[in-house]
Amino acid sequence: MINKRSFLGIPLARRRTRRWLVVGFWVLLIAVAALFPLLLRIYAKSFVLPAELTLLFAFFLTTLLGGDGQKGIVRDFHGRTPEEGPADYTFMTPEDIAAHKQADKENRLDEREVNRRNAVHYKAYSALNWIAVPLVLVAVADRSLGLVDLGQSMILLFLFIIQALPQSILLWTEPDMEEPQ
Amino acid sequence: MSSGSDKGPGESGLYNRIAVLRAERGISHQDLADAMEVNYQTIGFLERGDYSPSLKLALSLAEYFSLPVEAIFSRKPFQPLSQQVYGTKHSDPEKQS
Repeated sequence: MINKRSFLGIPLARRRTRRWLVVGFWVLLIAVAALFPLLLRIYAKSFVLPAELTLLFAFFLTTLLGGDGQKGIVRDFHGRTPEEGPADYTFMTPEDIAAHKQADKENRLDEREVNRRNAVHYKAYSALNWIAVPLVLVAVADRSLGLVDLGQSMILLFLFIIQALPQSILLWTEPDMEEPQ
Repeated sequence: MSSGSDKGPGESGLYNRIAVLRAERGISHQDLADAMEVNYQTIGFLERGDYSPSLKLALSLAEYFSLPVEAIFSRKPFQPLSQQVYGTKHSDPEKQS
């Protein structure tokens, strides 16, 4: 699941080192997030180049971790899975087919990687659920935050989606059940 | 590696002999990974017992090594292969006489 053996000279084989890297990443990201409103305020009247650069830097930071592309530390989550089988190479030139096959081979997720990917998404969204509920409650209760202007119904809909979407997908995709005999 | 050693079974709770079988046959992580169509890191996780393979992968490994699946994976620690092949544990000759 991890694409690289080292990152900026930092060896990634050891979990302990990777954890320090993650801590560093989040500290930097939070610092950037904290800096952003400050920059916006300072450069409110001018063209907000520093703020835009901050946003770009934050985006760059998140892409470094990978998962959503082929350049980051973590392998692309969207690689073909064993269940998907081979890609469809119809209407491609032989050169394109060779290139696509090579890329498919490199980016293909095996069964362990698919399991890990699904498990981390479950953990991530479970954690998000715990954060979302109090946030929405605060947003709805406290009108001074101004979030109510976005529309209370939209906020509540967001909460319901977070809470009910996994179950809905499960009910939608689970195969037919046998009658008990 | 958990074959015939005192090491625990890793996170999977399964003991396996993949590393021994691979070493016996002189196969690299990458060779085995290519044959199983998995990432080479997955072979490492399997050997350390940190990943419990699907039935499909376990059977593919068994087929690849031409062994029954229970010769590769076990819920209990394996005896060393030499001990299994030659029967009994090495005993003290003085005690035998």
